[in-house]
Amino acid sequence: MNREESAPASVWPVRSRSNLHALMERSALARWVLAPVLVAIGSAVDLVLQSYNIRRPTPEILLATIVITVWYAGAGPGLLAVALSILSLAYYFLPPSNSFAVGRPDLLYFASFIFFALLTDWFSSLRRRTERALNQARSELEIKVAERTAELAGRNQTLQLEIAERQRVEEELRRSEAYLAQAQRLSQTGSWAWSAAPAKVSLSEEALRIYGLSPAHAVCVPDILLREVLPEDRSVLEGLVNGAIRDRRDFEIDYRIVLPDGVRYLHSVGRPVVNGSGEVAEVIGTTLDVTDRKRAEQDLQEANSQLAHASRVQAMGELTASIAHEINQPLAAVVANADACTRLLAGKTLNMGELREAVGDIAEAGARAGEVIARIRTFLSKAPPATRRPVCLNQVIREVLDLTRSELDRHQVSVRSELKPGLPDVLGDRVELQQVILNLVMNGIEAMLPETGRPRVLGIHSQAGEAGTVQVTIRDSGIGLPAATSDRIFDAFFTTKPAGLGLGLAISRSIIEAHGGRLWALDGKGNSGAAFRFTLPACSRETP
Amino acid sequence: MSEEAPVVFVVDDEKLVRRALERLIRTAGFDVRAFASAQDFLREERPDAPGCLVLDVRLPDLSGMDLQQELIRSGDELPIVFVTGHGDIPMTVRAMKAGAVEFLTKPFRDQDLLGAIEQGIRTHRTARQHRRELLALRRCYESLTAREREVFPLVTSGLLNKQIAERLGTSEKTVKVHRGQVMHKMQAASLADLVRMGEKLGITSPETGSRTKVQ
Repeated sequence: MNREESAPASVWPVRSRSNLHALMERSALARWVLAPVLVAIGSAVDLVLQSYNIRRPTPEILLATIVITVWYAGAGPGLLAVALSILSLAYYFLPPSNSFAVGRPDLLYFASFIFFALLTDWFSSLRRRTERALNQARSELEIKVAERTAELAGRNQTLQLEIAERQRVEEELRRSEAYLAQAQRLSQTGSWAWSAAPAKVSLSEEALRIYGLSPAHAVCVPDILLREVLPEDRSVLEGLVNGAIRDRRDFEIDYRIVLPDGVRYLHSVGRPVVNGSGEVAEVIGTTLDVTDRKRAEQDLQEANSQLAHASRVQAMGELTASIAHEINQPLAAVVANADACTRLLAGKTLNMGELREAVGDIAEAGARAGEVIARIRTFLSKAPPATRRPVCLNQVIREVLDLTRSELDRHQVSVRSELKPGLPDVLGDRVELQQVILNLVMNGIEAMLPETGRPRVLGIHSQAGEAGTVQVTIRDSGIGLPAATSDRIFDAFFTTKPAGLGLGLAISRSIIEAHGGRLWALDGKGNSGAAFRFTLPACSRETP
Repeated sequence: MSEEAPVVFVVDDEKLVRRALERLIRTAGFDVRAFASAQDFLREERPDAPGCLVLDVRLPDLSGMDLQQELIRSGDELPIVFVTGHGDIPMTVRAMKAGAVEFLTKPFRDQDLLGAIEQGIRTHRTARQHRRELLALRRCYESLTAREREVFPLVTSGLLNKQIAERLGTSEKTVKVHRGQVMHKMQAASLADLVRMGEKLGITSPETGSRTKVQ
């Protein structure tokens, strides 16, 4: 199309030019033949005109042949045409005719002809060269224009390809963003970027939904977000974000926000982003709405805690005799002392020393009974889930031994306890840990009941376990565990006891595992009785 | 016969209970000795006096029931009043069958305990009295000669001297002397008295010709 466009620019007679010029360009002979032919034609025409006396001999036609020759054949043949024209003029048209001699009167004319012929030739050559140069330049320009046009076309094409590619990429990006938004929506995970200066937070669509914010808050000041966070969690969250910016630390946090429809539990993970100049400009992260999971966990925990409670109540039921004994002991002391006091007061002389001692003992016995009740109440209490505090296992063991002392006495079980002093605390729920130990102790006692021949010994052993754990082993001198059942004893509702629910060990194990520990039965050797061991991770002293 | 003042023994491992029982029994006017374990009690040299043992069922090592069996085995007649924090029926039955005075569940009223103690002391006193009498009788019986011991059951079974003489193949007169000796040595006031003595000593019916001697 470019070529077509350039066509009207040519004012030259294309056809003649193309024919004659093409011939001239092609053949040097044609060029050199053109001069004599044209001069001959010109001379002949002149001669014809002269012979008919139409006019006086004039050089115009010859000059015209020179011009035409130069035009078509170039400077060389032009000069030939000049020479031939001069000769033709001298021979044919200047007296004496048919001779090359030129008469004196015509000399000036002849000289002026030569001058004009040369001038014509020079001028024509000049024009031709100019024309040709122009032509050349024009064709070069045309080529350049064509080239440029082609180049432009190419570039245009590239550009179009690029545009198409960009559109494709944009489409892909849009799709990917849609996928991301969808994925965030499905996984209830929002993403955000929290920049330090200026303080602002950018939130993804899902993050906006999680925080219950309108799309207008896609970029907002952190206060909008922090306002929703429960006051007790707010400073922790803020501290972690600031810490991430300051110390380039990743962080993870569980916190709660209050929305009009209630409290939501969130889990956020953040990571500082270091910019080109090595500074932390922002923290990017994700927020996961874990409310449903948390609620399910709480429900499960509650169910577990109720089950554990039921099991404790049952354990207490088994201990009724011992509990009655534990309480009746101090009560007996109270009553007996009170009766003694009544008698002392009825006497003729008051033995004040004896009375004082008796009353003191009454108070002490009353306090003792109160302690027993408190111990049982604690054990039977429905502790709120996850009341984890540092607990000294040795103390828990001693409490359980206190609780079961009469039971142990009743069945004439002697306790051999080796409690390693100075063991680290474990983080846990005191009541639940008591329950586990009580369960193992009661199982031990029960296992030894059929034994009449040898002494009944219950061994309780605490020590530091592997890798920062505290380890407790409870061993009885009973008949041991039948090999066939030892792998099922931890299953719920599996029991070897006629009156057992089969929940004790299952609950004990779930309690220990909920505390991050392990409970298992040791391999019994020979008839050494059954042994159970559990480990719990020790908590560091500085843990609150 | 003069009788020494009674002594009440208390065995309870629980210090507060032990002190309270000791105090209550002492204020009721008894001499009290208290022990924390059955072994401590067994090691103690007991005075020769009527008494009663107030015993906790559940004790470390040697239980109250074990101590009861131990005392029965060694022929000790010290009456036992059991006290327990929590007693079940089989335990109570076992203790009572083995001769316990009372089985009290803590906490108990002072009258119940003191009444049981008094009953125990009474029982012990009677038992001691019987034992003492028996011992005296036995001492008398041991002073009899072989012949006199042969005559004794025949006399208490109501045979006449003549019949006795026939049985023993001796003269009526000799039998009469023996009979007089028996009555004198046994310090019997009458034949009826001697019969009662014979019963106590377990010297029974001569009809079968058997002679039994009870230790």
